[in-house]
Amino acid sequence: METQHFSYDNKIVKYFAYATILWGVVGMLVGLLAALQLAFPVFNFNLEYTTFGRIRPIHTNAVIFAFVGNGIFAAVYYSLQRLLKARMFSDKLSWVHFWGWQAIIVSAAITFVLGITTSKEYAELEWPIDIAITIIWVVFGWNMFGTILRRRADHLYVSIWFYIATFVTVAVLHIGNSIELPYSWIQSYPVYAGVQDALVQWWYGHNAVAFFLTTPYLGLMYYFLPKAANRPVYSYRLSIIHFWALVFLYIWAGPHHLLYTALPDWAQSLGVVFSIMLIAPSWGGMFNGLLTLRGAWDKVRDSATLKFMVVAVTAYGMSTFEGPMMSLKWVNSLTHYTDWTIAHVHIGAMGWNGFLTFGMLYYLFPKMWKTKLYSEKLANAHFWMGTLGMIFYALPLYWGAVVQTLMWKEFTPDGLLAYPNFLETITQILPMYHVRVLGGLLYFASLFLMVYNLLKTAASGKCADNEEASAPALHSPKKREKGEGLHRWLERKPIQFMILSTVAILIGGAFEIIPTYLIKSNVPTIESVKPYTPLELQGRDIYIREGCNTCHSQMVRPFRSETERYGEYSKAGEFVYDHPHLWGSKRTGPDLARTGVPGGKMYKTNVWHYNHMLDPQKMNAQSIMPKYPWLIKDELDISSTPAKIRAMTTLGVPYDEAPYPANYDQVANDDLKKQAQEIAADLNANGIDVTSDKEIIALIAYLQRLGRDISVKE
Amino acid sequence: METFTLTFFLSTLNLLSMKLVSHYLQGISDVGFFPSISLLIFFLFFAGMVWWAFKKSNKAYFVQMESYALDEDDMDSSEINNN
Repeated sequence: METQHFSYDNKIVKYFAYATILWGVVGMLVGLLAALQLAFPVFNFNLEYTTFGRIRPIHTNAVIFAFVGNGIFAAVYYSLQRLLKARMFSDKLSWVHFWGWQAIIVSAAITFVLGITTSKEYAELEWPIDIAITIIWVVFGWNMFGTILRRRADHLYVSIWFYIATFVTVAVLHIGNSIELPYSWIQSYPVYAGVQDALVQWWYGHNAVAFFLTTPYLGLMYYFLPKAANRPVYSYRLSIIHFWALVFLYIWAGPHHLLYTALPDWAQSLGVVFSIMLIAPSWGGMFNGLLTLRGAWDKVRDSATLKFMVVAVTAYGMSTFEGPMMSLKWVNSLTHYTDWTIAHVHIGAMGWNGFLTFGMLYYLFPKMWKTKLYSEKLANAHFWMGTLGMIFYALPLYWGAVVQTLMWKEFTPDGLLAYPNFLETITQILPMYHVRVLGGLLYFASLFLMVYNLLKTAASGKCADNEEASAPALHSPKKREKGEGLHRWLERKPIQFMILSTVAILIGGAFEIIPTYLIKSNVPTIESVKPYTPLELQGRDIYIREGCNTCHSQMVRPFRSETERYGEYSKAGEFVYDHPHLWGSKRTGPDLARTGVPGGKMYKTNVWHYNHMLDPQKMNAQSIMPKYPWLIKDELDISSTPAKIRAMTTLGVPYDEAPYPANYDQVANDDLKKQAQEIAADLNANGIDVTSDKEIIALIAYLQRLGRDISVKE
Repeated sequence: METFTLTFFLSTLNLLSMKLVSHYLQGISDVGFFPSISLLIFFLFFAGMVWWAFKKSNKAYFVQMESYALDEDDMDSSEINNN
């Protein structure tokens, strides 16, 4: 057969690898800042740009999409070319992909600092950036499929199945969750409201973990682990079974993020059942990774690369066991809203993604620069320091979570909450937040050992931008050959493979989401629930801008410990006008769903809110909430009111029905000013010098609205 | 191709049946059979796949694919032969 000569594009891999390192440093530095802010609120710097509510999404997005994202692309661009014996389809597409992705990361950081956010976790980016992501993702897919179609090796190795599943599913998830209606050139409201928005968001959120942090990294594992260990994969059969089971099952499990919320019970059960079943395929992957090293464990002792990979795969096994356990309803009733979740995701992010990335980089640099790793000793030091960092990060949080959740739920013999003041439960675990900073610092500092080591390695060798290679031309019979198994045939049919994996994920997605639309009884209507007033709507957008939902949930679960603390439990019908939902996923502060109920357990006066936003530490010396002085002095921008009202009307909020006058968008600001004056008058009467045109007035209006609708006596 | 056709058929059937019965569902609050159907679909899918993966005729091919990622230059031939 004719031998063809070609070259691998190493330059693009090199750039993605450098970007991985750079964004890793940035993302973890911001994470360190976030950890510091929770331990010492002074690190919020009293600036609107640097409060925890804005810093936290920068950290999560930087680690997920910038650090891990570039790691995925480095791995795909390196392994795909070699597994297919072909250069990437188009150098142009490669570079558009590279620079496009970096531009998205930078614009994400800028918009988050400015408070431009949709509030939906891991999907906080606004609509223009969402469109850019879609375009760049298509460029990536186009380049990948182009390469696959021009391949010289007939069969698609297991890594490539995972890359294909990643590509299609992330596309489906991103588009599905980002359907939003713009009300300005940069901002929008999601088309979904309340329960539906929550379900779609966690269908996305959970599968961002599955198809951005897991499947591409399994593909990476299947390529780099055998390479680094120089051992064949333990079982190809197992890889087939666990691949299909994983892509089929993962997509169903999203509702486990919403247990005991106002989400319908059937959807919650669906989430639990499939989460438990997920253990099997996840552990299939873990065993396949670890058993690849059978008979070669002596190599692990000598190689830092393998050490990183072994701990990564073990962390994967731990997280994928812990995750399903956390989705059991009774476990979830304890762990949800606590730091347990934060510890859990960090075992995944630091252990699985971080360590596998480091392992890959330690393998890639000597390989591409055709030299030896500068210092195995330094790499070992990195490994131990990183491992210690991870332990010091996670253990205090697990401990703190248990302490806090038990405090939340403890009653006195008289049947009263033992710790009625939420702040007590935070103060109690604050030392754990301090230790967590230390863990994060260790992990972060260990990165620099790698940076130095890899730069030295690169300096001692030379990376050919184009690596010469040769392979026989592709000979691929069109039809299934005699005796050729079905999957074996499928493995050389990329298009069919892609369609089949798309079908596998769509079934789960359809089952979860379509019934929520079809079944009216899922979201019972509550007569007394009315749309927000224009001032409340503006206040709500300030709440979103400041990322209040990062620390405050708006979802009282039906437990006595919660109804005693917060008030009546939350119902699906309360959220029908909430574009987006603001249920939250973590309680660093108390739940706010009932904070506007007069005479309720959470009720506070306008004056209290004013003083509290100005300086929380003045109200409670122990509070770890940031100060928000700019809300007091900044004027509320009411020019956006008509556009916001129009957008909400389009989304089905009945501002176009009685009692609202026709063209309500044009007169909405009259209502806004009237309500603002009432609140300002109340504040003035209580000795606070404030005018009605400030942002704080709108925020107070919104907070005083929370839970008020269903407290109305009919 | 069989699996493909079967899965495609099943998913179409799901969507179709969901449309047909949706107006009955609207009246009831208990739609707990959704998880059950889902479980059944997955079980059939999974059982079919495991049956196929354990067919004897695939064995030699699997052994070959297990070493696929290792280039010739990476291979230690004695190691491969011993396993």
